[in-house]
Amino acid sequence: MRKTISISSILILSALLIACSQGASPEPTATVRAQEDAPSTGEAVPPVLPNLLVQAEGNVWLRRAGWADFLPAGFGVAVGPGDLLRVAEGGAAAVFCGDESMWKEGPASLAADGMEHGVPCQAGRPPRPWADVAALRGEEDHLVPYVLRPRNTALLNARPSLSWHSLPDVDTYTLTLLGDDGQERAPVQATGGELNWPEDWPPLEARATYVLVVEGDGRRSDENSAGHAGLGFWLLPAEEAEAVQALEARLRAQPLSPTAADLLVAELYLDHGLRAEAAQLLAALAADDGTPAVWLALGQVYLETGLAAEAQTSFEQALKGAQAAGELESEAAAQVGLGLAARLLNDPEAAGEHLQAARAFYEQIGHQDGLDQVDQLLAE
Amino acid sequence: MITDLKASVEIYLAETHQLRAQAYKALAQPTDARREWQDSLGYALAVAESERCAADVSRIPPDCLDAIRWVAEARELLAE
Repeated sequence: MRKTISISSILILSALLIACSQGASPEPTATVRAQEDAPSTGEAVPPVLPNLLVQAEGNVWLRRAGWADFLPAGFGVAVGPGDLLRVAEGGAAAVFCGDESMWKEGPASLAADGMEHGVPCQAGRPPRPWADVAALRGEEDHLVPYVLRPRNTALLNARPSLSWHSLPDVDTYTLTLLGDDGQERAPVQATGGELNWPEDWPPLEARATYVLVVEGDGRRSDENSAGHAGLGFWLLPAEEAEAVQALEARLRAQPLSPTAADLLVAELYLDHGLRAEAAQLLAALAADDGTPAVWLALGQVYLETGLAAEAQTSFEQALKGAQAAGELESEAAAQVGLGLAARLLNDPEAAGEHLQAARAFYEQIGHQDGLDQVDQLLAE
Repeated sequence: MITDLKASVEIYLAETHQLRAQAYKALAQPTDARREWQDSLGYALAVAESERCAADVSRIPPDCLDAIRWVAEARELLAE
């Protein structure tokens, strides 16, 4: 009996080690480390957020350095020094600077006078790079109740809601939590595709790693050949969680629309590897009034967590919105996202087509960084 | 410190694009010249509208004066 327990303990610990190996480790992020390391002399720390267009009503155009001309820009687009913004009369646009030292001034409104204006911020946090899909666990089998949330993520909430891909004709699922915190959590039965944290399960603990396993009609979420790799989740260390919550409170106190505040908070979460909570915020924003930038951000989170089909749907929505609004840069980014999602779904032909389409858009815009990025992806 | 460094990069970029615009103009390539003027305007505005160049600063740094002049120049040429 004792031998059986110790063998199963070793198996669980090994699975959790593998689960952690693909995601970010529960270490403080660069920003927090920089804040911790910064001397008390007030030395500058890297920006927490990108500079974002938090209001874009009417005709708002953007031109980045090197572009052939101005192009329409919508809510949520990232901007930086050197970019030019033009707001037509009757429109309204505002930029929120990612550098924390500028937050006291709130979002900066741009004059709606049809003239070119600079971005009133220092460089914000650079855009998050595209996920390296070759290193990710991708969910390809639609007949498996794979975990949607939480997976490959840090968490603020010790009692997160649980979500999985529900299968046709399967009503009941069994949820098991693997963890190395020594707590007993009996498997629970659930219907549908979502469940609040079971009341009789103890909350998640710091410094422990967990994997959720869902079983339905004999199919298990971890039956993929990758085992538990890329499925781990963990609580953010207390000190880092406090820093994130303090920044979130400051953002929520800004004179911003609720949509803009949610988008900025989602970006803050992503800076700390809080992918599940960021995805929840972004999914709600996308369902409500999804601009291409919101769908792109959501697609990118899904991609980072290996949810290829969900990423594909988000990028398709981004593409549709970008086409309707004439946002060529977002259209190009959506094509890159679709290409990477296709790679994750093991469809190299479709991936190549999407990446070539993105390349053509970047060429048309005159966006050299985008071209370089796509060429690098095509060469991989 | 970092702010000053970034501003100096932007003023350098504004000037570089301005010189490139003049070169394209001399080569009778108006489309390329226009693109360079727009690039110069973007970087010059980033400096001219920055906090360190605010009008209430008692001693405006020389970079700010250059940036303000280049903004006006770029606007004038782009309006032609």
